[in-house]
Amino acid sequence: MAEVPFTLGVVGHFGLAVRDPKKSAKWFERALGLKKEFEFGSGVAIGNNNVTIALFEGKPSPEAIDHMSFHLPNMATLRKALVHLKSIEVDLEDPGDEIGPEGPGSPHMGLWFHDPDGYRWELSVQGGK
Amino acid sequence: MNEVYILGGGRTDFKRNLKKEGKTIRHLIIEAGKKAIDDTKIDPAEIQAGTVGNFNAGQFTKQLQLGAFIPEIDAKLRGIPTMHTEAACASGALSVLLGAQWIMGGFHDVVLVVGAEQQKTMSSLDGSDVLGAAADYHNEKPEYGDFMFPKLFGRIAQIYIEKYGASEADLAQVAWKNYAHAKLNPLAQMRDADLTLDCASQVSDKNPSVAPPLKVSDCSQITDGAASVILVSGKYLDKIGRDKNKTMRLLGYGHTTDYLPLDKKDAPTFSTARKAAEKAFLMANLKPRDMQGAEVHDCFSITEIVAYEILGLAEPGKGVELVKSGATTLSQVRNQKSGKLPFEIPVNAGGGLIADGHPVGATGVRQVFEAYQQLTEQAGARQIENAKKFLTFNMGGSLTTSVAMVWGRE
Repeated sequence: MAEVPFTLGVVGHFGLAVRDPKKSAKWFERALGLKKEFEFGSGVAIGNNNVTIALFEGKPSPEAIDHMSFHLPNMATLRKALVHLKSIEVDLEDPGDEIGPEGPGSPHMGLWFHDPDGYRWELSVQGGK
Repeated sequence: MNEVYILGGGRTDFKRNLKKEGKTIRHLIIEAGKKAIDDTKIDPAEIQAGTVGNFNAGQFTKQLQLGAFIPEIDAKLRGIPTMHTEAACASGALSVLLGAQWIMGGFHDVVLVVGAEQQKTMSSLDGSDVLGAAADYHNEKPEYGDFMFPKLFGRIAQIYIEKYGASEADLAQVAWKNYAHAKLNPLAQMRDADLTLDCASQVSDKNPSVAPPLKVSDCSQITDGAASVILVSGKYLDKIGRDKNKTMRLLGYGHTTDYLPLDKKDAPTFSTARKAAEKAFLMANLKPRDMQGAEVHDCFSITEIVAYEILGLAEPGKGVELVKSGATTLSQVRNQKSGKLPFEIPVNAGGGLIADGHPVGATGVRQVFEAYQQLTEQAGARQIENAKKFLTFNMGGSLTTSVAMVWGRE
């Protein structure tokens, strides 16, 4: 197999089909602190210095992606994130036991939740420290 | 009619999230099946048939044909007949009943029963829509909207309160009791949760309203889990030289089906569900107060109150009094100052659907496995002392399908 002559960098942007882009943009702003970057034909782009998400009007397909994970720097921040997400009544998995290993025996700790279109998001701390 | 006995069983830890483990309903069925085989130490080649109770794997996981996972439990099971039973939250009890009736009718002597559900595969909103298939979806969804089941049972609670004058704080007694029981159950989903009676009694940030008068603490859990039992005939017990008197036996059962929509039922009396209980006690030649323990379908706190009355544990309108008396609370949990009560029947000793968890298709099987653990004194910290006769009541929809079973040992 020919050697691939490049290495992928950080995530630039990705698109998500959502029922109502403006409503979803507000949710991402409240829940994850992403800001509106620009509007386009059928949607809204939101993001921060690390990622841009293009929310375009369409039929959501949460099962197509399964979940998407973003890293946080440490457990203290993860716990603050949990308090914040609870305070705005985000649909968190495993109520009362939200923070746990990424998989059985994994040292990486995370929490999982769903956005209004059913997409599953993860915030995680590598190494769980 | 052949007698039906339970040789043993198993269950999974209801706190788990299978998606986080990269596992599916297939793994749940296999794991629970293996636990029953390990518990009974039976040669899998002796198992002649299998049943799988499941409500809606088709929508939760896009997987059906669940009987086909039974051969994956053990290669010796390849080729045996299997069936999948579905009646919403009563799917598990129907699986037990199907296996029992095969034995009663002389078709088989050893049947493996598994109940399983994987629910944590989607958002709460989407999951509640899947659960809506247990109601009269196309007629009741336009009336009740999203999160249909809390609203249906909120309506039942309103009808009950209007008729008998109960309060939200009364309902909280059920939630508090079942959370307290779960702390004694090492496999309960909410075993680490602390719920005070005060918190359960009022709406707060921690315990928001869901469908008045129901709050979050009044609701059962979204759960990934499975349970299993192995049913056998008396003939099989004779073959392996096991004492029938020391083995848990099905003494009686009743199974009824009502109209699907709530407004066609006689809430909060639910006379059709009541007939299931009456049939079970008649067949067993026992009365409700002959029971020393019960597993009762508490998908919501109001359901347990209504079930007390359906099952004859309390007179109509007296369900709240029963729970408030402490009669349905384990003595290990009840205020020790209250001492021995004139009538005691601990209900949902493992936490019930509210706190042990409610993997829908597994629940009816889990209830029977709990009865098995109680009757064989394997229930650990939540053991009901001297339990000899035990009731299980599993129902589906808004009291649409009801299955009551009376179990006993000498």
